[in-house]
Amino acid sequence: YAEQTSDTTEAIKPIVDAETSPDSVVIEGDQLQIQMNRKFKSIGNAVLHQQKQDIYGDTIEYDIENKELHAIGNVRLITSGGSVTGPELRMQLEESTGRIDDAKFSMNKALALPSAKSSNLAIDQSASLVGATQQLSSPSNDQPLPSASKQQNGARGDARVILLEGEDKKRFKHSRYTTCDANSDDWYIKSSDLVIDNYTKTATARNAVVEFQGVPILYTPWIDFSFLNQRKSGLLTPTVGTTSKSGFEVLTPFYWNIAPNMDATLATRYLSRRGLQYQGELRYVTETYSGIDNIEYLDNDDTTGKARYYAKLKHTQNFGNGWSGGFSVEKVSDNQYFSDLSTRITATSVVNLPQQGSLSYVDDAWNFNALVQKYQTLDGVSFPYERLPQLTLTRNDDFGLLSSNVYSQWVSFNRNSSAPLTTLTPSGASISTAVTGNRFVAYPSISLPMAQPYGYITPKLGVRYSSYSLNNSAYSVTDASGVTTAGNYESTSQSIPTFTLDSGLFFDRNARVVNNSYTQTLEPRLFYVYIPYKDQSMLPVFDSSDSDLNMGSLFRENQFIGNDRINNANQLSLAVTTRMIDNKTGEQRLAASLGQRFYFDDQKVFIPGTPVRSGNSSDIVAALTAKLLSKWSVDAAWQFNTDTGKAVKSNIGTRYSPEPGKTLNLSYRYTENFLDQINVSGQWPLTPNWYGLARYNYSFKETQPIEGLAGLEYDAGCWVARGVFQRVSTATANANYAIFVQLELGGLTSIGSDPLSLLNRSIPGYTNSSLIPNSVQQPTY
Amino acid sequence: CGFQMRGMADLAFHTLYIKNNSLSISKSLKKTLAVNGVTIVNNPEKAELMLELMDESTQKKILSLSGGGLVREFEIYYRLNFRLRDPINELWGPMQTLEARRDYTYDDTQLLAKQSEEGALYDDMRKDVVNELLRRLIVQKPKSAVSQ
Repeated sequence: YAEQTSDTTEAIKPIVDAETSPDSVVIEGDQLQIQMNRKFKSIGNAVLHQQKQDIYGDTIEYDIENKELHAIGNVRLITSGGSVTGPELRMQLEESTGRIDDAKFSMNKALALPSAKSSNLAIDQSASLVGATQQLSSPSNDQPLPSASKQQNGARGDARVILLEGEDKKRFKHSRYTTCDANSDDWYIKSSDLVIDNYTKTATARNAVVEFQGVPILYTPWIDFSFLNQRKSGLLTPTVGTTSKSGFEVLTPFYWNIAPNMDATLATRYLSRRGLQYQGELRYVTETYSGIDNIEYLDNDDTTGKARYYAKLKHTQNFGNGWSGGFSVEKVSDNQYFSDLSTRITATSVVNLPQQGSLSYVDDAWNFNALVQKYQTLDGVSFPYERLPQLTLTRNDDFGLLSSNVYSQWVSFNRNSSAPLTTLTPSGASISTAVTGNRFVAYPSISLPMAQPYGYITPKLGVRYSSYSLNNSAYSVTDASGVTTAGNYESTSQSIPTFTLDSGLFFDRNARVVNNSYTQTLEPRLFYVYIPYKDQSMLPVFDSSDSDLNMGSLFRENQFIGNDRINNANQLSLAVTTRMIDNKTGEQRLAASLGQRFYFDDQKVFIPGTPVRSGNSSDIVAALTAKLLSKWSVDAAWQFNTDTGKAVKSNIGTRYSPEPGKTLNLSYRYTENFLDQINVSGQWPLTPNWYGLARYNYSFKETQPIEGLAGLEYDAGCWVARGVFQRVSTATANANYAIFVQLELGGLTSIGSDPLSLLNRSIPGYTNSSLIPNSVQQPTY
Repeated sequence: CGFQMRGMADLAFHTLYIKNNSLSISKSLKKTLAVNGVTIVNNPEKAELMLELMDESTQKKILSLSGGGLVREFEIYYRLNFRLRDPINELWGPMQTLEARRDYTYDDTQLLAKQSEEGALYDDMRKDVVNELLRRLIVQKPKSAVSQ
């Protein structure tokens, strides 16, 4: 529009060349009057140009002496950040102060609410699986949303009065603000006083009401915004939802930006069936240490009549010179805490809460770790041994071609006093014992790795020494067929020599697929193990079990995980892997492997209560992973029992993701006697505005659904509405049902329950539809 | 069928400078590079190619639940971010990510053993990522090496 007026401008009277000085002023207009060399009056299509702003009006009066401006009729004030229009503007140019009544404004960049999630406090959450039970500011274990926000179309609004308060500051009295297009009045934030500071890139509104379709949905006495997603203290959007266990709920969080490296989120959570819960989370990070502390407290649960709480304190510290340490302590008031008060499966599936501390040292040769570890067990059955403490020391040396390794570990295993005497193993046997004790293990070994680009061969010799000192050593084992053996574990020591020979070759050839040039590799691997038999049936099992069979475990000398059992072995593992590697980037597009282990001796060492292998070969394992055309990805693994001719394990997962907003996932996972389930999830546009979201996870083994989720998303351009219904099975109680409703106003964070982290976990590849580029509502200019 | 034993012949560079050589994979990366005829130099000016190991991270996600809501399988990830620079250039190339993924069955009655199994799988993934990093490196044809 600016061009239109300048076209009609006839008289151009530059006072000073506007290019040379930031303060210089250029006045244009159809007609120019000069009064006593101190007042200019421009009449008809009047314009005043400055380097930082342009002011248009039907008439502009400018007083040079006082630098006062008075524009009348169709006034527009245009700056790099946006424009303000109104019938009349009075302004002092030097101070940049002024006033426009009955004004409209538009901003090139929309305001954003402060967001704890976008904070740059980089705390590694991956090690922990129990987050806060509600969506406080805790980053979840789920994949984060794409950080890029929607290309903002800016914002607009109007105000009864706009006061210019200096170059960077504007105050809007009785204003309406929205990111919707000019022809859409879908939502507004109305506030009695809105201050926007372009210098600090922040804005504050007082007495703010969010109106959606003319209906006020939220009031707040004040609300802070930030242009740059900076962290800033203030109210976060409240959460609204309902669950079958706790009824209607409202979570009101307050974000406190304590320091650049420390923040806190405090919240009250009202649950209609339980009462008022207080939540707090503190996060901090420095060069040498970081931590996160969560507390949830419900003084008097209306349903149970008891106080309920959850606490998690986590800290890691780097002491320097190779030393580091930390602790992680979690506790809940009762076993039903998560199933009653959370709908996140990362919490509801938890059976054991760790309470542990560790200290480590690492250098080129040494590796030391001290661990003290206990658990709070919520199911009353699955009590792990407490390690009070576990000390592990390893040393690695190279002597020319020879490489030596010494692994040693001392552990004191304790029983939790509530642990039942009899425990069931996954294979259906039961073991009764109250054994505790100390175990020392040492495993010195030497190896001679010989490697060339085309292959390697590594012979390795070692001796595994273990020694037990036990208390309460009586045991009895009843296997799955009902046969009971009883006896006493022995405090004894033994040494078992081991020999392994690992070797592999690499072959390459060039392959062309369509127009791309690939290197196809062929990598055969051969692994021989010899370990003589030593009777270990008199030894307890503190931390050991059978290992899953896969491409990794096929090439481990001990088929048992843990240090209580060493398999007797005279066996050969064979595998072949082929890969397709993009010649331009070195990127792997496809990898497929096939492997099997052949036994020349029978299995004589086993974990009590587990089946003993028959036959002279392992199951065949196969794995395939591929990324095709970056739209399709496939991940599959199979395990065949050659004796029974049956699949022991069969996993296939595939994802089709042609563009953001279109994702389909299908997976089937089967493990004999353990798992048999299907998982379908996806996000797909139904109409240009509507997206369908769904996940269904069904267990054929238990013939019941595990997780179900159905949702609809409506993208109106300047807002997104989303409704999600969820059913989640919980580890310690019946299934919980939840409904989330969310309204996301463009540029602002969402109002209502936050199902985004849920959707990210449930539907791999999910993209918030407001982040989908080229979605139909995205106006193009 | 056209397969040939892998050699060093195609390698376009022989000296590599590694920035931030203190990740968990650093030691095995050095050994793997040595085997493949790449010498690690401490002075970036003497390198024909520069590698920055930016950071590494691990992630653990629930892969499947039982009908009763208990964890049946976990999946774990190891990711490495790195970037490359031809010493002729002023700027580092774009960040590249290598990711390895494993899954394992889980049962709370075997928690301690499963912790060890997880550790062993992380070791496997680190080996995989070192090998994949090597494959990304050996296709590089830095100009500073070609011109020599």
